[in-house]
Amino acid sequence: MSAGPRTRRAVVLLRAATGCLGAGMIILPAPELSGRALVLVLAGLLLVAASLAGPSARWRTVGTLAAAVAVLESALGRPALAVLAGEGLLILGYLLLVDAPGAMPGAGAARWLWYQLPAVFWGTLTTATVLVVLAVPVPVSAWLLVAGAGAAVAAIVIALPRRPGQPRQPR
Amino acid sequence: MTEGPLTARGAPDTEPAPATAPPAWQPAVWQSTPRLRRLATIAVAVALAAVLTRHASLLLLGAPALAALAAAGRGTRPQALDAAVTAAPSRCFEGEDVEVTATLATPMDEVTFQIEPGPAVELAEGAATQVVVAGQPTARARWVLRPHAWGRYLVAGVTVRCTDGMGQASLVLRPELVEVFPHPPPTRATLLPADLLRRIGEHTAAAPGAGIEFFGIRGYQPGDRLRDLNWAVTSRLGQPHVNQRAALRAADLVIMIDAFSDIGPPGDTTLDLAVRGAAGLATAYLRAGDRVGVVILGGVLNWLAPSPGNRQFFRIVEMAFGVRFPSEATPDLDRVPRSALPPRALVVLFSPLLDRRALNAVTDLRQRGVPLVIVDVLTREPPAEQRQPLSQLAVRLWRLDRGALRASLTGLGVPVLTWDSGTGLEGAQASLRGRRVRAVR
Repeated sequence: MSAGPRTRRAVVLLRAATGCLGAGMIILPAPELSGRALVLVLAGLLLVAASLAGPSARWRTVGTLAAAVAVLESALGRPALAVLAGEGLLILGYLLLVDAPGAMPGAGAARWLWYQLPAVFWGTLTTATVLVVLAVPVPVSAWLLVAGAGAAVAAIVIALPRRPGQPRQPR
Repeated sequence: MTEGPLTARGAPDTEPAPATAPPAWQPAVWQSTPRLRRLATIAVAVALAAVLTRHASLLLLGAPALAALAAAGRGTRPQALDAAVTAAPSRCFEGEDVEVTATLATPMDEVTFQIEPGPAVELAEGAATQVVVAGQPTARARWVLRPHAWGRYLVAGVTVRCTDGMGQASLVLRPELVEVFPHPPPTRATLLPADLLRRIGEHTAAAPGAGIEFFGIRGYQPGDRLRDLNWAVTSRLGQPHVNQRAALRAADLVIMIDAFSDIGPPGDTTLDLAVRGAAGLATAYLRAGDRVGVVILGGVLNWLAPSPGNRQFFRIVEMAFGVRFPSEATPDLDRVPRSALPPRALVVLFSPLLDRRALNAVTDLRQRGVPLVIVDVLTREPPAEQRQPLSQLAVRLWRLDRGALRASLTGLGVPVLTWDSGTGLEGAQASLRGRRVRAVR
């Protein structure tokens, strides 16, 4: 038994939004690429398409690979800071939406999107902070890299499961 | 005997199924969500790229992902989840609806319910995957299933995936077993033994009695009712003659089910067909006030002595639920007590005629002088490759072998009827209409 028309519409809209974000994250750093590196654009677009439709959409690795291609493009092209900031937000949006569960009716999809807003808010705030820090002319320092790597490790340690807690009260 | 239609809900010892079962705590094993793994992978990739290229600005790519990771709640991750699944009603007939409801009373960010219907069970209503997002104290999903095979089995399994923060747990819930009764095909009690019982019933006997149908004419005797006088014969012969009417007698029916072979797709195997046919015959004869019993050949020899009434239908069907288990034992019909195979009972054997042990049972019954009818329930031929002459030759030989077997049984005085599930049993009985089944030794 297939889902109802409202559910189908919500799924199509979510997929379309995911596709736009995915295409954006692949195309945004493309102008800085040249020569053989342009193959990455094609590969990235194909991976984005594969993560949205077809049997490969069930493989979660495909979406991660598409985002990794976008990172690789930026690493090779080294675009401007503003472009990198936008690219980071596009990657975050794509990774959030590509996880959206299928078969959600319209109201459920709206509620699901509402619950993603905190992640988007904190991502935007962090991007703005890092952008400001990087925009200030400071001499290149290895400490900056160490601080970044430390932040990554701290974030993962905070998010990783530690021990089971008590069930919370119904909202 | 006129009884109402059989309903599964009116089965003996049936209690109304509760709408929702009390929730049960299910142990949960928590893992990191795919989102956590994705965001962490991208963050690590960005950090590596920044280090390798000595380009600190690349950290801008991973900063949002890291922030999302840090901002996401860890979730409560309880050791057990308050989850339950119910199937109602617990008894139904093939083709009727069964409602499956899954609930999760532990609050979660996101709950995905996915149902996997069993073989020969159709999902009639509700999407197979249903997602409930946070905001409701109890997540609930509902489906309507339509089983197309009889038996006592699990109609579906429900997988519940809960996401809370960056943790994810999966549960597999199974509802109680549902008893699906075979849908009896329409038929009438027309197969009758030559010698009916002395008991009063609804079948016209070959003896004078107090029935309705005309039996013969004899001379008037004191005590005969005047309205039975046959005036035409009386005026022609000059002596008073009266009409005789046939007696109405009951019959005993013993249904045998050959459970040695079970061939075909789920829900439409030879055994499925045999039990449906048995249910149809049992319904027709029980409605006519006859006594019906059952003997199951295969595995452990089971039997149920003939008895009247609607309850007997459910006893027969519940016994048939246990026919499916493999065994190499050959049934010894001598072990069947006299009460289960009473004299003058008509025996109807539903069999695909594939197993030698079932044919031995036929021989045994014939030697014991039991009036016997065989209903062949094998409706499919072995598949033949169109382009392989040898394959087609093998199928032709198989057909000839089947034809010879059926002819030999008919030659021994055992009628063999062919029944396809697409038609009622009455069509299969047409060749015996108006004839009584005699015992041939």
